[in-house]
Amino acid sequence: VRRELGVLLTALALLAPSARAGDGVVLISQADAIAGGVTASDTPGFPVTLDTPGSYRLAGDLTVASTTADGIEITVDDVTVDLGGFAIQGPITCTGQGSALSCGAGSGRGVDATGAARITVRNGSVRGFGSDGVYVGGADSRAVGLTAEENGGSGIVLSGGIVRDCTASRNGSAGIVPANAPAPSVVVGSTAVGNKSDGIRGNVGAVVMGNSAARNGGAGIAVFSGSSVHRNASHENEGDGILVQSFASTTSITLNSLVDNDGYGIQTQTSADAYGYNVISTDVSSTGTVAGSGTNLGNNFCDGSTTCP
Amino acid sequence: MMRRCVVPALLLWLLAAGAASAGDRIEINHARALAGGISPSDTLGYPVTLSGGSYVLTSNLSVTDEAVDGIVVSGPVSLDLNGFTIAGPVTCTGSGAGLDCGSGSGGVGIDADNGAYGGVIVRNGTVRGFASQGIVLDEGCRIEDVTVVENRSAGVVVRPNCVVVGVIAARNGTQGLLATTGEGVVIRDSLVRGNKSYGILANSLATSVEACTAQGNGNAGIEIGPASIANYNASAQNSGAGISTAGTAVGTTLIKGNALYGNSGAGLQMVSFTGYVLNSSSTGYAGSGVALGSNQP
Repeated sequence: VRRELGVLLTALALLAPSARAGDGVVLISQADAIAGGVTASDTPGFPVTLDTPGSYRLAGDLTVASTTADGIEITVDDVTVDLGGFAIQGPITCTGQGSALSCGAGSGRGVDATGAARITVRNGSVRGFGSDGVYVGGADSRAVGLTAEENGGSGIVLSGGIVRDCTASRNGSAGIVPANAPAPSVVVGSTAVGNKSDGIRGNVGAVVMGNSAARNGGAGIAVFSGSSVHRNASHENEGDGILVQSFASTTSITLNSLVDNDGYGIQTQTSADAYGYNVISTDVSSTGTVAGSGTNLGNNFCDGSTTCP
Repeated sequence: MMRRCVVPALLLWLLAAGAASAGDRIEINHARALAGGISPSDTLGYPVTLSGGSYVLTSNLSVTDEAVDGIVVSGPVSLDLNGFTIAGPVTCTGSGAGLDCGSGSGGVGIDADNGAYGGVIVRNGTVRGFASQGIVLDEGCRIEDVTVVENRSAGVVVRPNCVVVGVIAARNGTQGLLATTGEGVVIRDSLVRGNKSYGILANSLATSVEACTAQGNGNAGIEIGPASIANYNASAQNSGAGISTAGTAVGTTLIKGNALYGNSGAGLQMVSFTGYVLNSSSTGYAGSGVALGSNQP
């Protein structure tokens, strides 16, 4: 019986590297990454290449020692990567915060889906990469429940999609960046703290609602034309609390709390930008409460006064 | 001799158990779909028929016949797509009014519109390429974190009292999200773009559309009905109004805090009993709405 038990255990051990969870999701561990073969074109070592549509999940932390390698590279549409609460850890560290942030050199990304669309990355951390934490170049993607910190580029970059319940902190460029093309974005329930550039940067037609942006080196929230910016807290940023970027217009900015930002609480561009019901306060470092040609829709509260520019 | 059979038998049992269940949920994968028997009423091949319970996809599903549904629900069901895709054979070219998904009706990706069983939950995956709608869910449904693209008809159709959260509906052959029957639908944190008709058409009673973005759709970005709200949305570059209101039933519709940019129609196109405030529109306001406070312009 003992011999049969040994055979059984050996057989089970041989089954284990099949790297599929009981729910059919392909598991990725550090050992799988080193061995290669997670998908057909995946070679030994990093990055782990995902070339087949489907669902993948980390089975443990992934540690990438190279400053130039990506952690996971996605080369096909329709992929979900569940980090399973684990981290993809690169070798880079950063010191300081905001404009004083300094990160080590490198070019890898934690998750790189440059040419892929309909990508979902969720539920875990990506930190320490020389470039961006998560980068998705195709439209209709999602980042949910991610923490991206101390990456040399931006924390989370999606070319259109939904960013929800994410944290981007102390990244070497912006925190959360829905890139300018090809699709709009929704950023909700997320925080951007201490990033070297803007905290949250939106594209045309973005919704930015229910977020917090603090101590970033640029604006807390920077948006483009047709964006809807509501119920955010943006404070102690080195730029504006909310910035409507150059050449943009027709934004709606309401119900935000904008405190002690070094630029303006709100900086608009044209009279088509509208703001109302915002609470704005400044400190000695601030440039002012409101700037630009935007239209005051009323009921703003600026440094204790209901009279705002 | 008997002992010699123990190991292989045990291995087979372990493999079978692993293939049939994921926790307490019932697995659906392509092989099991072809084999049938996933639920008592499920027959060979597609559609997979579900008759109640909690299910999880364990692989992508691929339906090659335009006439056939992916999954048909005939009972109260929770369906976790588990990050996988249910794909039909249809593809689309272009975007918005210029979208072309071919012609002819056919299968639905997930069809839970049976009129008898409410409360269906669908989450976490993608449905694309069906010759009719992507997903149709009956009363009391919830759909969350689902991407629905390139279906020949509407992306998602929901009936009364459904909740739609975090859905992406892009480049579908009619509307992105459609809620035109019944009342009480909540749609939030969602993205609709490039659909051939409306981005969101939710013109029945008491609908809430909040924190959604609608861009580049072939008709209005968002349309709501009586006693409804559309707050804090962005609607840009649609081939129609940014947001329109419909219906003549009693009840005030509120449109607040929206950014309406570059639409070919008015930013807001309103019937009577519509109040609007704190909006910004690059193409103005039209119809019979009443400004409840300041808007721009």
